[in-house]
Amino acid sequence: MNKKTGIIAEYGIMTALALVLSFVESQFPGIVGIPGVKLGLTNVVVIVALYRRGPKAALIINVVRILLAAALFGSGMSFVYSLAGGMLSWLVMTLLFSIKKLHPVTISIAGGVSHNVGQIIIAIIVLNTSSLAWYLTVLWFSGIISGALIGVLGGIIAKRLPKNNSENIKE
Amino acid sequence: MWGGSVKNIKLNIAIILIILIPGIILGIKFIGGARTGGMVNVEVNGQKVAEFSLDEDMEYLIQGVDGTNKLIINAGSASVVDATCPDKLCEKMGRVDKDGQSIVCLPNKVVVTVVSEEKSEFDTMAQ
Repeated sequence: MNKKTGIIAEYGIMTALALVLSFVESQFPGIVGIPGVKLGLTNVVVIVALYRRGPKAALIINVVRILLAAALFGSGMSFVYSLAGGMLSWLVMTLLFSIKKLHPVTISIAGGVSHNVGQIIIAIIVLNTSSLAWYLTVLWFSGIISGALIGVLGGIIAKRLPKNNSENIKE
Repeated sequence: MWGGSVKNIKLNIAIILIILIPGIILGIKFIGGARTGGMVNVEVNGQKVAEFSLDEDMEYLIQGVDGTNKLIINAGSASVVDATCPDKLCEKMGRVDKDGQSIVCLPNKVVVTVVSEEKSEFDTMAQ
């Protein structure tokens, strides 16, 4: 099999997995009871994609996931929020990833916090208010905690998966 | 460990600390030094629609953009109950009574913020 075909299949599997995790998470919107506080399970896939295939793969998988999630079970507003969070966290994680080979937990913590900051920025614009500093505080710490948990999970998965599937496939 | 190398452990810890610091500063501002605010501001879509004292128990129906939220002031703290929005996250957010704390209903564009009495008096004077 062609090497490219293998990579396309891997992108497809990771996007599908991210979409499923997105759906699972959408079923529990208020587990803690504060808007925006969530585990961010999808980021496990983004972290794995970042470490296996690099920033471009992580971006493509996340954008396709956000588009599909919005079309299938989201609303217009949830699309804007997840896009802002997803893009800002991707940017921050990519910058940290390119500077030096950092630990997945560190990158994921930065990603979790920046994801929530992106959502707060949209909330400030949508609500036309500046009094969201209290939220920022809560979401800052929730981003650190969920980012750390996701980083542990993503790091272990990225390491355990065979280095490059497509190379193991006989042509 | 945990799927990454521990070679750059110092750099990793330094970055995590840099991320922690703004959160801790914000946290101290709200939890440590915060005093009971005294007033609650109700904003809908960026416009201030009402202001109440936390000292008087009362109920107020907020007309949001997409529906209504009921604000309750009881025993010196404010909470939101009976929201018409689908996820009802504002109801689960509990009670707020410290300066700067807020309850937000995203679908209705409602923001309830605790402000200090002095500050709100100053706002009135400035208007």
